[in-house]
Amino acid sequence: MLRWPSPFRQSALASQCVPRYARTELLRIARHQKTPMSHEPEQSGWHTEEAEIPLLQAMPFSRPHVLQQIRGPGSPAILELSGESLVLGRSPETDIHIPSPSLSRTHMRLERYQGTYRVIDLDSSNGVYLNEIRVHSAVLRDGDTLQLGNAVFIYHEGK
Amino acid sequence: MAFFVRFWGTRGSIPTPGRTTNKYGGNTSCVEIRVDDTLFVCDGGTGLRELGVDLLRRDMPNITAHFLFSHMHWDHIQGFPFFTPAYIPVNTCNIYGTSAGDHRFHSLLSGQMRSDYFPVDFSELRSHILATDLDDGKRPIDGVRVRWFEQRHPGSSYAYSLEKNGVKVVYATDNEIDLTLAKTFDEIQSDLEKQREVPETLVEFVRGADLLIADAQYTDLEYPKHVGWGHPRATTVVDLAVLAGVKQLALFHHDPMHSDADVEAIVQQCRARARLFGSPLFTFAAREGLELKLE
Ligand SMILES: [Zn+2]
Ligand SMILES: [Zn+2]
Repeated sequence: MLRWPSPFRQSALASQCVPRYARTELLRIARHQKTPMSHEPEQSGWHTEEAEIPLLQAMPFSRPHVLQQIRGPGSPAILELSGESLVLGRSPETDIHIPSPSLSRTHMRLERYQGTYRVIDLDSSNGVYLNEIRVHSAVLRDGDTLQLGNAVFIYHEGK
Repeated sequence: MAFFVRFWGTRGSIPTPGRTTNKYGGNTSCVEIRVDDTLFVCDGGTGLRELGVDLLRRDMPNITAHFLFSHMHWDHIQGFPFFTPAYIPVNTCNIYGTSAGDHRFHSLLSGQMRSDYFPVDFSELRSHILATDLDDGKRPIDGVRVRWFEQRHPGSSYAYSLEKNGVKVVYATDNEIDLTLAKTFDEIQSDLEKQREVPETLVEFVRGADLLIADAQYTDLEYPKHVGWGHPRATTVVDLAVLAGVKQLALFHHDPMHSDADVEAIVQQCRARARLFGSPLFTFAAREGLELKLE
């Protein structure tokens, strides 16, 4: 019997962690495996059900990179990151618009970099703080905290 | 005018790829310091390979890199044969010795590319690789005042100070400051909380730095088993930074046995120690890909 541990099932991202078709496939295989487990006499020949179990192919598995906004105007919010380059700032023209006077009009750029994102301070007045460090730029890692003015984000690295 | 300081390799001794070191990084010592258009490269550990790749992506007609090597141990030079800009004729790599006419670093770098160790010979690097020196301890390079300080390390090592327009950055790795303290090992062990007496010459060298990048390999608990290995207690580095009035301290040369969580625990210990002495010092752990702007 295949059972998803309940905290996993409850996770907001669970549906993105394992695609629906993959779950169906896993359940199908789990059911299939029940058959050879039921004892069969040896003289039943070479053709056992065991030999028919198909090998599961490696499945595409993806989950977006996410900025979880925990403080500041618009929070709480989950911002999925996509594209090669995004600008975050106070201006409504930015890709990620945070209407707070503590942010500069164009405050920070996010650039796709080696499977994650890199942040670059666009000469903002209040700066970009990564885990309390004022940075000019940084490569984001899972669990990093970013603070821009009064807006605070946690970065969740996708796959 | 601003200093841009970017970490390309922060690990000590040997590269440590893997999940537990993913955040602070597994590449060995390499720090890029840009002052206007002048590029300094402090050490050429494995992080240097990625710096080379990145430099070629920047829109520069040619690259001139001023290499300041702390010393020639593997973890500080192994990236050099993989520094792609060194293979391109229009580029220049200046390799600085520490005193007038001292070209040891240049010849040791070429030594690691002898055929027994590496498939490409040093002479096949097509860029201009020049042996030069920092006269007798100091030299202006494109208006940046560069000085060196000899440190305590097996075979010796050098710290470098770079200053321009009131901004000062000190790169000081592989320095067992604990062997140079006024008090004996036993005296220090008897009261680890007491501020340690760091040599005045070192304090003066570091004095007033906006950023001190310093070897902080061991915890107080680990150090007694590693006396003489060439690396200090992180807490002793905090004492140096506090005494010298440093603004920001980047803990560097992370021990290969330390996971990201271990590094973070050391940062907390160091911050607590600075608070104990009432210092406003800000301490953090150097990590790959992190870039500071100092002005
Ligand atoms: Zn080293
Ligand atoms: Zn060394």
